[in-house]
Amino acid sequence: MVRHLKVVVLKEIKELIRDPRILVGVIIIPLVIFPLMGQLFSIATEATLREMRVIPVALIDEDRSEFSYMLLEMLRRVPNIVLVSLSSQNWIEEALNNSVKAVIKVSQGFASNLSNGLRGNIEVYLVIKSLGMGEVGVGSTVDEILGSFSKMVSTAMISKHAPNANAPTILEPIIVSDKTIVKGEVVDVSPKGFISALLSQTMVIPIVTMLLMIMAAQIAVTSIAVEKEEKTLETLLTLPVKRVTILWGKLIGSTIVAAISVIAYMVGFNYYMSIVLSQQQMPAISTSYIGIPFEGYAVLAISLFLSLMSMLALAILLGAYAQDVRSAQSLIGILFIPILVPTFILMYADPLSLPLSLQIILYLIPFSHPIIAVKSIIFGNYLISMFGLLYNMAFMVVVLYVAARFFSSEKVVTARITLGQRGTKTS
Amino acid sequence: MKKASDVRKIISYLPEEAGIYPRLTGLEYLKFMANLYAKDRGEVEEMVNEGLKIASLGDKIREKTATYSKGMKRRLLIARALMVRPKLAILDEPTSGLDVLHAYHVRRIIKEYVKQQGLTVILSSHNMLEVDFLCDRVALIHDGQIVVEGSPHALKETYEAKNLEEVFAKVTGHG
Repeated sequence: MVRHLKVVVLKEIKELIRDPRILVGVIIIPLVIFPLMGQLFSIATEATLREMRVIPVALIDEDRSEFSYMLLEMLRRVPNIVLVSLSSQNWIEEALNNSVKAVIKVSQGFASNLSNGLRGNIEVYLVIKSLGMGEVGVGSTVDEILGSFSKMVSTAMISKHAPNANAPTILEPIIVSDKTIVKGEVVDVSPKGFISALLSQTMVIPIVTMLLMIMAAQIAVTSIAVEKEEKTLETLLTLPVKRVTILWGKLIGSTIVAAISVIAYMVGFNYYMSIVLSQQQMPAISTSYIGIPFEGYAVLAISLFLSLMSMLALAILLGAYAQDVRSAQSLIGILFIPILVPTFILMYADPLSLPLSLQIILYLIPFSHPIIAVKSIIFGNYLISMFGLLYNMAFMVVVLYVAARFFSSEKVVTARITLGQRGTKTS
Repeated sequence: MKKASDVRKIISYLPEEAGIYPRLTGLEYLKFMANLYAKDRGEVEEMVNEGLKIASLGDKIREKTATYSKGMKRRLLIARALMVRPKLAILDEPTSGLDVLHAYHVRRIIKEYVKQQGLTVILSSHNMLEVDFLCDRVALIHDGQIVVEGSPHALKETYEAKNLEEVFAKVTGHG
């Protein structure tokens, strides 16, 4: 039995890996597409940064007051800003000719307005010549400068009108320090930062789970449909091998190829994420709060294995009803719904926060449980994951039993679902 | 049929429309099959060597079967069916759709192999000349019923026919 299984698994792997539809679609493309996306992202970021290194800005000072002079001085001190002088009459034309990115216009009466207790007006003109992140960057740089300038003006006015007052305290009277309580301990990180760090970790597992399931299902359905398309199944079933061995050969072969494919995805995806995340700041949080303990990984691995086997057995059953690879690929779409629904819901929401009816549906879908397990394990709640394991085990036993019975019968050769015609015909 | 897999050990079946795994080479295909029938490595090697001899595909055996012509595929399939030394080989239309030379090769293999190894072949065919050439006993089937059976020589004598085609026509009332 074991020797035969090895022989069948090896044959499955060879056939699958050499199939250009699988080799290109699920192994080569992710290895190429993600790094390519990362490179393109990096090129785009680099181009934006290059654009931001020197920003030509013009200040039209119609007020000529101490405040407008203060703004001018401030702009001079910003390292990546190059000041361009424009005449008041044809300033738009001049700005365009001198590649000016932003024009800041301090209107006449700015200082006198402030002295009379009114608001001073500043107009900002951004020159948009193309659609890119560079334009957005220029806008936010100018906003930041004017925000600081506004604070500076406030400080100056407070000092003038109330010399004994503490200007910074009046401007920002409250200091808020966010902390989070996790697993009964206080962590010195804001809840927002904690959740984003946690999501960045826990989201990877649902994505990997989803990818693995989809890849494996696609591969398994192809492996059985190819047998039908190439008319090798009939011969295979006449060989001195137990039908269950053939079924297990397909399950194991598909899992191995799917695992290779997921590794290809993760290598590509990690490369992409490392480029994207290098642009973002994440709070440093000890892994004891958001990490998964060793026994948690064991529970997760078992949960994933059980779900995967159920998915593969379902895919093979479905594939046996297809006439060829193309109709098998269409049929397998049905199985993606119970994978995608829990993945996307559970990526953001906690199952217990959902309406009861949706919770029940999620718990009934066997493919939800690896994702639910990740979330509950992080918070030390093993009860839900244990329930998931038992449920998945029962589900897998039932599905494998049905698949084994199906494979032992002659229906595996004659089963047909005719797509695109009225009704479903099983002969 | 409680021990179906045991029965399958002594039977070899070649369906009319049998296919071959297109992404395996001819040699890999023979090895795959031999590994499922043989008890040990030595027997695997023997079977594969036998298969190589029967198929006689030369260097093509190391290429993927997707590149094979219909005749070459059929030769490989016949090799697969016979190399495992079954007690009974069931060959369904072994030469259907093949060109003259491939059909000739396949028929010669079957004839020689049966003589050498002493195995039994149940062969179904619409080609009465092929049946005449290969078979010791013939059962003519018409409308799903066996209408007559016997050796080709005896049948031809009984029906005073030059060949089995004529026998068939006479038996079914068309001659």
